[in-house]
Amino acid sequence: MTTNGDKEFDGIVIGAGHNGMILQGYLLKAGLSVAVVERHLEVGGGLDAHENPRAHGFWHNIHSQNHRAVPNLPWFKDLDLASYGQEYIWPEIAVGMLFRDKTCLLWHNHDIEQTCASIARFSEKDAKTFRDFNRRFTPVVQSIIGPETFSPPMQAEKKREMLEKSELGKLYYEFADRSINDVVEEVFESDQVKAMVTYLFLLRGNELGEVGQGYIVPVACAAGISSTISKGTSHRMAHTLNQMVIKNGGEVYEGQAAAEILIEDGRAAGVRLADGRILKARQFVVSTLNPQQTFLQLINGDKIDSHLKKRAENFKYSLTTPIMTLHLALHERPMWAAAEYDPNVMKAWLMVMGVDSTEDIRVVLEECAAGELPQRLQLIGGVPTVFDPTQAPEGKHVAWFWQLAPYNLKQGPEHWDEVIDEMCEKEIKLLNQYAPNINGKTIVDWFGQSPLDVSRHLPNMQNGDWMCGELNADQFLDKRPFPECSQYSTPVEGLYIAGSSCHPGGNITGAPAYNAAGVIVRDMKADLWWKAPELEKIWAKLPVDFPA
Amino acid sequence: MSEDTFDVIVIGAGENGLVLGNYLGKAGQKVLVCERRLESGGGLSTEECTILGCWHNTGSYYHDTVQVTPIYQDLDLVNANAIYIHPPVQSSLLKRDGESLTLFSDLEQTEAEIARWSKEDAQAWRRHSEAFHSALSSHYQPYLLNPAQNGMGHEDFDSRSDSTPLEAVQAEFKHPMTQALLLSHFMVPRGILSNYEGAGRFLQLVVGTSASNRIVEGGSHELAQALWTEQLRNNGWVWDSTPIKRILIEEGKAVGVETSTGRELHAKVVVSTVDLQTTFQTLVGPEHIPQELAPQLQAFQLEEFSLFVIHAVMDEVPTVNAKDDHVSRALRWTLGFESAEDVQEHIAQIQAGKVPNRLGAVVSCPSLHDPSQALPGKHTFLLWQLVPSRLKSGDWSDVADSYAQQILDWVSEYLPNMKGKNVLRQVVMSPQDLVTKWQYPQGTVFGGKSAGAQLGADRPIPELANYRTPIKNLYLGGASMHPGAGIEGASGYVAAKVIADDLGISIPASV
Ligand SMILES: Cc1cc2nc3c(=O)[nH]c(=O)nc-3n(C[C@H](O)[C@H](O)[C@H](O)COP(=O)(O)OP(=O)(O)OC[C@H]3O[C@@H](n4cnc5c(N)ncnc54)[C@H](O)[C@@H]3O)c2cc1C
Ligand SMILES: Cc1cc2nc3c(=O)[nH]c(=O)nc-3n(C[C@H](O)[C@H](O)[C@H](O)COP(=O)(O)OP(=O)(O)OC[C@H]3O[C@@H](n4cnc5c(N)ncnc54)[C@H](O)[C@@H]3O)c2cc1C
Repeated sequence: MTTNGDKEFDGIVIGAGHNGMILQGYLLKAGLSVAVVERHLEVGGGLDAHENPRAHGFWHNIHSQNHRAVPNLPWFKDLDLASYGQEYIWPEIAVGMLFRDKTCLLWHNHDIEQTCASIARFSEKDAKTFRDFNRRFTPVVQSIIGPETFSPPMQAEKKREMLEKSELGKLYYEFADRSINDVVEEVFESDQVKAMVTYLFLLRGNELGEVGQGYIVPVACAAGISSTISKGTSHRMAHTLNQMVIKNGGEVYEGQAAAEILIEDGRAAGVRLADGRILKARQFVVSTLNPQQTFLQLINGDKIDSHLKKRAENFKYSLTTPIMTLHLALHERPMWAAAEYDPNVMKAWLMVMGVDSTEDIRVVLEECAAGELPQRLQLIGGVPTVFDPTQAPEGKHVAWFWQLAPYNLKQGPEHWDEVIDEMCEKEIKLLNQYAPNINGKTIVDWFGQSPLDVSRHLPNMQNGDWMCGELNADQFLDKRPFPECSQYSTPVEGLYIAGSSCHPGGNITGAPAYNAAGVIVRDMKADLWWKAPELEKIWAKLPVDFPA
Repeated sequence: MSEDTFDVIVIGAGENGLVLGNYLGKAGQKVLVCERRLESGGGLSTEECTILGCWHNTGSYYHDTVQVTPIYQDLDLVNANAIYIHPPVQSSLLKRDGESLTLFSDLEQTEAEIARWSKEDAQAWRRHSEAFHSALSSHYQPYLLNPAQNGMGHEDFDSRSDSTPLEAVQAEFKHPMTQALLLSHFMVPRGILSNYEGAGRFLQLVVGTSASNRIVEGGSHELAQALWTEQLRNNGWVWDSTPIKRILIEEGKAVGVETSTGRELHAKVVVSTVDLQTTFQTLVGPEHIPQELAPQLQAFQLEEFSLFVIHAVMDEVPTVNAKDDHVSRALRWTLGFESAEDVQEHIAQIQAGKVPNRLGAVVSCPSLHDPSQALPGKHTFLLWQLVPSRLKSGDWSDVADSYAQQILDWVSEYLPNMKGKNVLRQVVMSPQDLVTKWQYPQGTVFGGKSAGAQLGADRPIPELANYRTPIKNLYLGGASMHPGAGIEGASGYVAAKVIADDLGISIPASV
């Protein structure tokens, strides 16, 4: 182990988002000396929270809010994060769809029967489909989706060959070969159910029309939404990861942008910081940023070949992930008008408004594509303090609401600074229709955050794309970010990539880091101290027939 | 040791709590620092409070004494990534007519500059500055880094033990601008008003440090991160989001603390770095306050002022209405004080509990000195003005916004583009905000008035001046203790020394 004095490490990770720090944790525990370089004063990337500057004690989660089943993820256990005091809260009801007619649809976090009962109020048939999917796809989640998420992606043809030997695999492809839109249209009949399922995937970063992702619909009926909330704000999780890194002997350079990845004799040899200091890497450099930053901005143009450059140049960002956020500090929690229809709605976590049908979604997507500010508003958000009162002063509340919105407005992205407040005011009016107690008297403070703010804050989320690259067929699974780099290594010796631009993409999953850790540790011949799923072995052992 | 048992528990992860925790951790103690807020650092706070990508120092901004104490070196904070920037043009007093007086990091330059206005003052400046530096390790450091004594054994210091800053400054400097600039440096960042009795003793300290203002690259919170990291490396823990509700006291001894969620944590030693009143009235509890202490605690005085703060983002760098070019590059601009009389009028209004209409402020453009604190091409702006912590009539929340506008209109007479569309966004912090954000009593940030009996050996009150309390195993650190507020970590350091002595261990200290 080197000390930090001589600024030389076995490896350097660029970006201390959750992926960067999880990766660092695995590598440190494998006996490697590793520093992480973070542009921000605060580590965590999408795990951020700010205290309201006009209403102190109200903490707003600036980016991610809804973490999926984090306490069950392999890295949470491997890195023993609970021992750092990290707690997660499981809301009883994950989603509450609020409709214009004051009815609502609830997706429970654990109890499938309750979810089906809620769906049945709109369509008995859809409830049956949902229950049926839940039963049939549970083994698909366990044996196909789960292991695939936490493994470097297998080459598509080989995957198909392996999976199609089993009924489970065939079932998977029956849906995988279609798009989310097609599957939803075919399997559900109620507008509300279609709207719920479609909208939630859209907000999760999936591309609705892309062939190849249709399996997600039945899979979600099996896996559920699995919402969890980081107690003490999402940023608390960043502190947990930071502590884990320090306690394992890692170095964290906050407030230090990486300015250049140094390439010597064709090999990644270190990182130059924005203030000129150099951190040397004896063995490897890992970038958790997007491929354009990694290959075009951080590497000197004549150090990499033109093919790789082309690949990076052609990398695409999603037009449908950018969102604007309305943050609220409140004297009281919203009282949903739909509680008359179903009192359980008060216990729901993610609240959706303005999405009664897939037609509503079609309209907003059209507006986004045209660079127009959405006219038919749709909100998805929630009130963290209902579940975790520590995020606001006693008895008070914070809430947030996202609205899909284009990064590239027709007038240019800078136009956001002029219109953001106006948009927020409109959203507050909409909110008031669904929760009449939210008005000038109960709002302590509000502020907006545009897609432009997102990429100002986290430049890796280019064009406000928090997926860090569109999940289209060309940038999915073994083609993400592009085939040459899909195994987390790159054509540049000693250079790896590991952020949301890699499989399986964005969100707080830690999976890109987890998968890259295995690849790097094997390459470095270091200690592979954890038990990673072995995709090939698991898939080779899939039973030919459906499990009993 | 069980999970809930430590050698030392520190209440408050401000600079002092973390410095103290670091030293004791280095001495082998298992230290837990408990912090009420999500972010540690207390007054070391840097936040994106205007627009994302622009960072503002919502607490302390420039640190003029941090190099005077050995803490930064002892704890090797540069290696933990706390890097200081020392801008060459340090501090300008700017007059409405565009004339100015500037202090440079280079003494020669400062001397030449002062000589433009007064040869005598220039010589006096050099004399006091040199006197400070030659007495630094022999007198000032021992003074700052030990429990207070009444004298320092240094003639200039001791001879001014009864004088006010105004008297001291007027005795040594003649020109109104030199006087005003110095008095303003007493106020910010030291929290000493020109009529505070006995505080004239700090004259040489103020002269000697007023051109050593340093800012942390990336923002003051970087220093907190460095201390936090080192705390963890030194066998310690920092638990954020852990407000302490009370100190557990059994048979007159502190045995631990209870958190707001009712969890009991035990330790051999408990140290409070929060303000004196909160420590005793809330954490210790009136039932445990020894009788003889109660009247002294009652007599302890908070300073009568607080800060009114404006943070803004600007589209373009502030333009400065000054005859000399270098003024536009100064780290700190002092506005509104052209003479000692100006300072006194301003202070008289504050002491009368009025919202001052005699304006006088310290302003800066941090991104000019550290571009990483703003989005590319944008600039950050900071303004502090002293105001009464309590208004005679009315409430801060009613007047804050209009007062901020009044102040900014006035500032634009000095910085002409500090208005209109060029100000993209602003955030105002009134004393009320300092209460709700950090729970500083009445918004006072300096831990208690630095005047009269509350200076030197009697700070905060005679009974507690040696950092120990009548409650065994309960110690004090923090801004209420000698040598007071400011980012120098000195009271945390002294507390660590006293505790180490009592524990019979030694801390790895260079002074
Ligand atoms: C408004 C919003 C809401 C979201 N809500 C959710 C949600 O509810 N649930 C969910 O799961 N996901 C959510 N996401 C997405 C989620 O935040 C991201 O997918 C996730 O944070 C990606 O993690 P990462 O570690 O790959 O990248 P990041 O978290 O972005 O971390 C990358 C890090 O690299 C740093 N960096 C960038 N450039 C440099 C450089 N040159 N040098 C050094 N460091 C650099 C960045 O500052 C950042 O800290 C949301 C995103 C946004 C924007
Ligand atoms: C706006 C502003 C500007 C300033 N500018 C400067 C400057 O430029 N230069 C300078 O040198 N000084 C400046 N100061 C003063 C400086 O910040 C303080 O003197 C310094 O922070 C004191 O450090 P401390 O550790 O004693 O207390 P603090 O920094 O106040 O830390 C105390 C900590 O204790 C925590 N706490 C409180 N109650 C509890 C509880 N019950 N349980 C657990 N934790 C608790 C608080 O949240 C806080 O983090 C400024 C202060 C302010 C407010």
